[in-house]
Amino acid sequence: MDQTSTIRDHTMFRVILKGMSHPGKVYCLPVFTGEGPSIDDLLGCLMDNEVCFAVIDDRNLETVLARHTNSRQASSEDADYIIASKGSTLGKLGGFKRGSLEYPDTGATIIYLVEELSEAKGGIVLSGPGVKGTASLRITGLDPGELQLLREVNSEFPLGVDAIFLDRCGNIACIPRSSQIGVN
Amino acid sequence: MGYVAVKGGNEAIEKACQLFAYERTKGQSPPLGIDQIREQLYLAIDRVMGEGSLYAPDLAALAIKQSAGDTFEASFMLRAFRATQQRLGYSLPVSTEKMRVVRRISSAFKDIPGGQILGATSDYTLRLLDFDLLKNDEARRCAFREKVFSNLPTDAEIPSAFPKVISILRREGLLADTIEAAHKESRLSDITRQPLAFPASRSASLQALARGETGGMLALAYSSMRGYGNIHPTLGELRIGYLPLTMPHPVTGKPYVVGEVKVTEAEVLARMQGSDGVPRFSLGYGLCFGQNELKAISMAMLDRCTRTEKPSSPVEDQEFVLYHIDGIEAMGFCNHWKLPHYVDFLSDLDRLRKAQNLARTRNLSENADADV
Amino acid sequence: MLMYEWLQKDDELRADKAQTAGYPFGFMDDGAKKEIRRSILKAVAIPGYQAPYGSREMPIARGWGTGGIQITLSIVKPDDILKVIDQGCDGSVNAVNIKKFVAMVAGVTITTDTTAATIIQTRHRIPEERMTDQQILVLQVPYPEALREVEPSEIETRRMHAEADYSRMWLYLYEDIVNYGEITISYRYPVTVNGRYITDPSPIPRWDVPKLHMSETLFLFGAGREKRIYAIPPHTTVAPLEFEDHKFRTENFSGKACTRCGATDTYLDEVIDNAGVGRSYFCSDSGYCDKRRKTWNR
Repeated sequence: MDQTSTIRDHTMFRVILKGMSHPGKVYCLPVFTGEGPSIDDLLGCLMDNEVCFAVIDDRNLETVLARHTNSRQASSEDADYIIASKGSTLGKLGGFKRGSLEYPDTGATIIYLVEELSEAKGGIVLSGPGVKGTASLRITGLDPGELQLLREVNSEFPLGVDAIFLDRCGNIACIPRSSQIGVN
Repeated sequence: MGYVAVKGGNEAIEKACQLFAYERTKGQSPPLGIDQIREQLYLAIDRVMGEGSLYAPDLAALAIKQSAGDTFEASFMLRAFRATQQRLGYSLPVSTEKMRVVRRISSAFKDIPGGQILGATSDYTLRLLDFDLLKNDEARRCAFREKVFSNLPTDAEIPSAFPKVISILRREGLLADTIEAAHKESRLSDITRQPLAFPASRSASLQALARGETGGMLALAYSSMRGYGNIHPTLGELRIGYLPLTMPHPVTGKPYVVGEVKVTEAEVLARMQGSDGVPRFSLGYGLCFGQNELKAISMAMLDRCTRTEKPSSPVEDQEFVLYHIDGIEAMGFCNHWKLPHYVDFLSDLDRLRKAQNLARTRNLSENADADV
Repeated sequence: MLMYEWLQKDDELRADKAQTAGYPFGFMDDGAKKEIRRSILKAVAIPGYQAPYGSREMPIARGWGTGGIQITLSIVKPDDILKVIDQGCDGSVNAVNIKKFVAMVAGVTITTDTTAATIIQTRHRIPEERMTDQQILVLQVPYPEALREVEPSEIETRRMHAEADYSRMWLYLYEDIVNYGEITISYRYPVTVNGRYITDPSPIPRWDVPKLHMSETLFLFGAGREKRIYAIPPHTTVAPLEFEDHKFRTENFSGKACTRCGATDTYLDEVIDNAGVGRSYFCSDSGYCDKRRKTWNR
């Protein structure tokens, strides 16, 4: 890999790390090409042939990602990375890998592609590690049933999945399994 | 009193590195050639390649030269170099029956199909210093070489392949199936990519052992041979030679021989109870780069010992063995004690002083009570 | 290239020079970095839990900070400002080696000023000056397993963490109190992170443990030889293990001040004079001491 794309990966990852350490806060991904940051740029700094992934509801994206990251495709129950291409897991979230008590880190990471993210009031109320007091995260384009599914799948900490949200403008926000998800 | 200059550390370190290189180069003797090390210290090369986990004789020679003969440092350099190299792919599995043998013996049988081929070994030498070697006598070297090749039978039959001793045992139903269904691996581990998790898979365990430090492994295996544990081994076969390195062709995918690699292979047999109640021999397997018989035999012992159902000594504890045989990790950590630890020590000192005060106070009050 | 040649290069190393030397940006191959990043994200999502990872060899020996270096190299950007300290000191052996190496392969600017740094890599100390949410502290860890003191087996300590079965650790502390009148652990004082995992904060002195609790900054812990990464995110509870009647206490420096800058509120190194008799004290955090000296008129 050439120097430029390596440095891009580093820059991209720092933003993701910021997002995961500050749940509910919205961060802008770096832009490299004219079109704006895409899901394959985001996943390109994390995924390779050591992990496997599944895409919900977008066949084309499956092919693009497989080529871009060299990762293997798998069922959503076996995948390390699941991409919910339309802001929904179609009710399947409960079946994703939550890890084991000895190795909770083997739980999956889910990336929701949504419309818009903002820190405006009246959104999802988050608290826990990384959050000073509480944080409010507004998401448009997320299937309304997903939050409850997320609460359930993460109800037995340290087992769980970790969520990254990516909106159309290239902003991200994260909800790791350590977060408490309240209602507004 | 003078305070240790904060910025002085830089210069001191540079000078220390310079001095290290100087120690090696200050003498009158001509610099060692890489070819000299490769040819005349070939066993050190083999050891360093195995422990560095990189088959590269010239680089191993360079590392040995640069480290002034410190095999731990040399292995470390190879390992570090390995980490910078791009991974092209994995070679295809090869049977060691395909080995171009240069040495091959078995202790289990007096004679074996293909014969006991002693090869080049120091096993039978008398360990008497040869003072003739103090002189660099080129004429003597030439005469010796001529002598070796004179009077050789011109029509000696050399088999192109040697059957494995264990295949004889297998045919007669004497060898246990090493791989039980429950332990079959769908995907081989790669310990350079994933960390060891316990209980470790067979492929992970063998990889860790193959790159282990010879002395450490020998010490552990020796403990087992002497009786710590319940394995009573026999050397089924030891063979040394060149294995073809086969890769799938990048375009056609067909097997494609890219070269050959010298390895030592040891197979150790020990008695065990089969799952059907019928006793059989179980196999311990050792394989490492170059000619390193102590390591291969120790590896085979450790492979067998760490698969014991009920470990009764450290050498039978897989976690204990695999965590402590890596030379690079062991030497790094041992050396790290030379790093400054004064903050930690001071913290300890604070605790100790406090604990001493408490102990003294206690003693005083106990004595006072006694006096009353 | 030899280490001493690297050390001889001037401090103004840029990424383009690193490429000429034949090393990719960040030294390690992309596969290695991606694995580390994945582990880091999981570590942040599960505060205090030790995530295993492959751990590549570095040209610096195991036990000398390879875990910290691997984290730094996986997250560093060319515009980062890096500070590296060992026992609080910027000029120490270990710190110098590491910062030269990272500058060489990532082209970062080096600083001794805690407040100016974006990434600080440290061995056994947390800087005196409070860090912000724009900074990351990467700690080098020799023993990631807090429970190793009471249990040598990894299989068993994994189980203990899995089941939050920490009774043997508490018993160990209790026995300390019975034998010595108090908990004698000095550095590596065990803490409970986010109310769940008992975690080893690395061999920082007790003095530094309170800095981990509800901080603004992200703490990343790298154990290269033991092949673990763990994390304490900002705004996370970190509670040192203690009993109602035997509370956690930091080291006591009352009556002592730094000879160089006069500070009475920092962790002090004790230095014995040449005659082996007198004692002087100096701030362990050399960068902070330098700053104070500039503003403090003796």
